[in-house]
Amino acid sequence: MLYTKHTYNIEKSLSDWCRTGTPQKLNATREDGLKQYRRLFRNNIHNTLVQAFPIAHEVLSETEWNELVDAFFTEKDIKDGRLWLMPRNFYEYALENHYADKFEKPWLNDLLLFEWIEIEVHTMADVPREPVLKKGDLLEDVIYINPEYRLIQLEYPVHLYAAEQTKDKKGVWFLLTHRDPETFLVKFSNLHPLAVVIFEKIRTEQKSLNQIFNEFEKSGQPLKENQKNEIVTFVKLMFYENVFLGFDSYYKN
Amino acid sequence: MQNQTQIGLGFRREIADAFLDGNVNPDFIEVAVENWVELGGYWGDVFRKVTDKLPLIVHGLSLSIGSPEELDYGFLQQVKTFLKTFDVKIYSEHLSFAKFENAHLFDLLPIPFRQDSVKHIALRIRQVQDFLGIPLAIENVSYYTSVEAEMTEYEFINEIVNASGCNLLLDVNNVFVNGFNHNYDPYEFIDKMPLDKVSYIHMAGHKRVAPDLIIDTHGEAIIEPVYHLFDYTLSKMSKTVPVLLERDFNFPEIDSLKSELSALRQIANKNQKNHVIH
Repeated sequence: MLYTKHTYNIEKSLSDWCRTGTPQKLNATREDGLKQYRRLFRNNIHNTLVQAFPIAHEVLSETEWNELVDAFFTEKDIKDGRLWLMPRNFYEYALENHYADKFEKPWLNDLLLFEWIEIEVHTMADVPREPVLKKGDLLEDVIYINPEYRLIQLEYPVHLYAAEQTKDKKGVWFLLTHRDPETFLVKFSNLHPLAVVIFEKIRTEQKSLNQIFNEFEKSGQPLKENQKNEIVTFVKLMFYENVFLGFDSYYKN
Repeated sequence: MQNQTQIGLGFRREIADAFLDGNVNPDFIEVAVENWVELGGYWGDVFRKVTDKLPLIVHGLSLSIGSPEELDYGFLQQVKTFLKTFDVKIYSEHLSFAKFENAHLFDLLPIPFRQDSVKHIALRIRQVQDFLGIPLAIENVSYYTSVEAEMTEYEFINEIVNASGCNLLLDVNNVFVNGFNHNYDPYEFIDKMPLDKVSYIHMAGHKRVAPDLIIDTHGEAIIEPVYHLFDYTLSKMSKTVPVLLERDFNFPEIDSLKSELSALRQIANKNQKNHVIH
């Protein structure tokens, strides 16, 4: 760095002023100009976050929202200059600093994550897809999963109910969010725990449904016929929603 | 090499359809790399379609040439890849800082006009240019106060350009805004700019928020005095460079933007005869 300590400190004071709103010792030629910087910077952060988290902004009180936004901008060092990624930092900050407890809104972390995941799945880089076979045997062939998705676990079903209504529904909820490769629309699916197990086995072990059913049997916990039927229904739905895109040509005999 | 001034329009999501359906057809588009790099899905697809049709110039928001910390080479690698992917010939950034000690601020703060700043920034510009393999076009920014300046703004810009060998992105609206806010004559300021180093020009609208303060909003139409200053600037230049109309929000009907593009073209054409092609 070729700055003198003095120039460094001027920049530090400018940055601190914009982030905190706390007056700094700055020999500025225009005090009103200095105030404009704080206003512009704060508005930019605030507006971006309102756009990213419309539900959280709606359900938090104005005081809570402003407290969280101001604390975030003051304390969180945002390492990536891409504005669309900034809401992820906001979610992480709220989580790390226990704002769900502070505001006595236990569903807050899940709500912020839910809203962030929609942005992430909508905007994230395209993931290269393997060539797939459109025709195959649902039970015998390995299913190919659309790689543009996020699967998250929530404590509160904020994806199914208004946030305030989820207070007494604490449990284990799974939300699959994916980007439709044809329409680019982001879609949400609430997954049953058994569906998550099947999904993960397909994803990580590249096994067909019948192979997975056999594994259950070998482990001494065979699936009942109605469970198998439910899984087949789930798989068909996932095909319909473009979560499953076809059959993996690599594993097809 | 083009034989006429290229007039471009900032590509923004709010007006993307007009680019796609050909309702607006500028000579080139400009985007901020941070808003489009490694973007997928719908907007990634739109961006590919638009850049298939129109040449791209890349601007930057987060390089933060005036920061004290080391350059972010991870980010610069992303920029380099982006420039190569889309065959970009001009990459510009602001003469300002937008992060401090690696904490991004998402807006631009004024660098103190000081001698050590010149040395620091010239070095960083050279480092960027060495890494990217192309000259950086550095933009004169609008600012609402200066802090502990040791020199004037025009001296600062000249020293930076001379010491770094960079090009200048001359934002004519910013000259007007700064002249108004800091009581100097924008025409005299233009006279003192290294016009031979200008490789790109920005034009935009602004908003007067107090009797003695203008904010560079990019949310209004260009006003007549800024057109006049643009005309004067081109009359003083001996070469032709691309000119961009910036509009970032408060978008009008597309016909209004087309009128602004036409007005810029008319002024550029009027001054064309004196210019060599850049």
